[in-house]
Amino acid sequence: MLQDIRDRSKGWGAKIIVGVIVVVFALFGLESLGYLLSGSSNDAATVNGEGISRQTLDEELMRAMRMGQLPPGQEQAARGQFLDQLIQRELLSQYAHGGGMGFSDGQIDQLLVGLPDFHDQSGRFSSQMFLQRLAQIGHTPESFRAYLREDMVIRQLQDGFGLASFSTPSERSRLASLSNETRSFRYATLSPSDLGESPSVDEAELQAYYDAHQAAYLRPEQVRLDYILLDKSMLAQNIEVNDQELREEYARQAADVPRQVSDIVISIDDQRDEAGARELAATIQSRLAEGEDFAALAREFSDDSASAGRGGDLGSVTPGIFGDPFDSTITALEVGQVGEPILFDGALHLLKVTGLDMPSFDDLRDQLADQQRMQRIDGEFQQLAQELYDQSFTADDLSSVAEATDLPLQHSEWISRDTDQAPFAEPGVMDAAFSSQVLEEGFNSDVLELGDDRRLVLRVAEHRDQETLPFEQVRDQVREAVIFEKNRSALAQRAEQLIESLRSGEQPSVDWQRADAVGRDAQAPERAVIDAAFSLPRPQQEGPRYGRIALEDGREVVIALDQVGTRDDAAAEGQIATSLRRVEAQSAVGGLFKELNERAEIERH
Amino acid sequence: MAQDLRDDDEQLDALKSWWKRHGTSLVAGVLLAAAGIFGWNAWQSHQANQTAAASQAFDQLIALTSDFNVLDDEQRAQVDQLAEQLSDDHGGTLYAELARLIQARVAVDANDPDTAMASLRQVIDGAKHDYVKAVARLDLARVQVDRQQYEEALANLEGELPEGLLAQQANVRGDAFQGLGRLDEARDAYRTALDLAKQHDLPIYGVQLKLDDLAPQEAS
Repeated sequence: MLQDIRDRSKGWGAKIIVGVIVVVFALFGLESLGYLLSGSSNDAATVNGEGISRQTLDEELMRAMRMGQLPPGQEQAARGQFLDQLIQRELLSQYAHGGGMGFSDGQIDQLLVGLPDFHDQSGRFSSQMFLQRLAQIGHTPESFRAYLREDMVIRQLQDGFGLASFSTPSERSRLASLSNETRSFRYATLSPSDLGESPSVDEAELQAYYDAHQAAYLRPEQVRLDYILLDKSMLAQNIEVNDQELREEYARQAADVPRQVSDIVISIDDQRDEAGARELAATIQSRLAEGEDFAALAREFSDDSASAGRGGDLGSVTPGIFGDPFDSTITALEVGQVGEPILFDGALHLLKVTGLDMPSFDDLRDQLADQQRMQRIDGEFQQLAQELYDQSFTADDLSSVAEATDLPLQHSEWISRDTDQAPFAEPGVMDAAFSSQVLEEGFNSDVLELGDDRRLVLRVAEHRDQETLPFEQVRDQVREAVIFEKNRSALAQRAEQLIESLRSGEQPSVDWQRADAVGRDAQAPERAVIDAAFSLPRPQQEGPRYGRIALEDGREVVIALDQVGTRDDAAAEGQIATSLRRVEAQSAVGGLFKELNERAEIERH
Repeated sequence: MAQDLRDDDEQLDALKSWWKRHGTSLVAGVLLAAAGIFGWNAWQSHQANQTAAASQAFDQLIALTSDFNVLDDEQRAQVDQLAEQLSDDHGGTLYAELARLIQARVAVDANDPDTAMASLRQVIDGAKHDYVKAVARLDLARVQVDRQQYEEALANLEGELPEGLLAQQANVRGDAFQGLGRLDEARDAYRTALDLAKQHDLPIYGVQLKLDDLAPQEAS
């Protein structure tokens, strides 16, 4: 067949067809073919038909890990969350671009040049810094520009709503006067213990309460697990480390950290040639040798007026900023040492390392020891992990696995899917326990990776379904609940009577506590009481206003509101203006999110 | 091709006759397509330039207004000019519509409610984006409440708003009813605002204070 095509392609007709293909490619480019060939199978999600590729998601996760925002081992758990973020970005970006918004290459250039992150020591944009920083966060210049282009448009959109938010004078003054209101009141607390003997409860009442509150006595589906936990830090506990090795490791790490450097600059110019500069350097060196202070000499001699005033101090210097003669000189110096003069940037430099950006050896000792132990045990850990994997995959139980690996077989209590017990609360563990493979078919689970340093394999020892606990089993709880309710209504009634008699002008003896000129945000009395006092209508001529509030713990509080006043807080109006504006901005942007989500077609693959 | 063409001469003949019949239309077609492509590209780059210009103007507006300070007359004139420019040259874009909202805010802060209301009305009457329109309606109603035009504010708040703005809508309604002395309705509106905020997880501020302030007398 190929031969056939080759034969025919000698003909005129074929040449025309080839010509047409050439023209299509020339005009539309190779992508036109790419579009035809690429399916949507590489997308992690589609948003209104626009794909978010798995690659984008992976890159995003990798970046977060590099920047330390995501602990290692959590990638899988964070995947969904990151995908959600990407979807939200995509939604906003689509809305913005559909609304004619955009960010041009020129604007991006301007932005990049202005970002201090990419400035060198002189405060100017440095393309070397730019590339270095991008490499640190896992971006190429192209991908970073694309990211910025999207990000800036989204920011413009959010800024637009944010900067359109305001508060009106009447809103401010009304809320200011309300929030500056104070209330003076008395309150009396009625406790269940004031009722004397506890109420009598009969069997029928208990049963009735139990029947009416079935949901409160529901026990969720639960399992008891057998499990083997391989924990690297447990293995590491018994490893010996010696001090010498730790010091070597400290020195190795110290080589890479930024150093605090002081510099005496001897410039070479019209007035002073190199020989003259070297002569001066030698003079300074000999004075240093006699024990003179480096900082004082820097003030006297250094030609860098900015640092001379600080005794030559340049602050902490990250390797790479001044280039090699500088870096290799300071790396070779101990703290406190001064190096031989070096020549760069048209000047001689006498450099002294004054400190390391790193805690002292003694402070780091325990941490280094832990690192060493973990490193040493790593081989054994990996081997055990592999063994655990091989054994548990083939075995019908876990006890033989425990024996073979010499790890303890452990047993859990009854736990439900939403347990907060370690290590079962960690992502993926209870999912594995309730998977059909483990729960229904009774196999060992896969070996679960809990981060890099722990492995867990489990099987279900026992399982019980969700169940409404029988009355007999919860009778004490029911009894407690019934007594609580009875006390509560008795107290409410008592409070009601008390208020009644107070209103009618009688003078019952009440154990009042006073709260004078209390603001809404006061710390005492307790929150619920303050809120209740502020929800009462203002007292009028005829005397105090009375109210009551049931506290969560079963006590009842009677409140007599005597007086409403104001306090002087001029700052309040400014704060209120800010809060009002912020809430408006939040609801405008948040509302847009809701709206876009509601109308979008989002598919997660 | 239906029949197998064996040698070049036959092919050439077939081609010649095909060319005679279809040559002109082919050339015309190719020219048309080329013109279309170049036109499309030119249009694309024109659009890109337009977008960049609008985006830059909007950035200027953001820079002018981002610290929420009260602006002096000259700065306000600049804000107005940018908003006009975006409306005139880039009407129908979000830039133009958001710029009107910002212009209104600047006017409210400068105690110039008439300008604010005029800007907001322009969005309500002319905006292409329903969501921006809804925000403008809410803003307008708040300025109207501030000017004691309570009935107008209520009329303005009639009808559907997007879910995310419902709590604010009820809140502003409450303010309008309170202004009219229709306290029962104000209470209901504030309660609705609190319920909606809870139900849809929306931000809200100060509503509980206003509700407490209207505590019904008969309750105690």
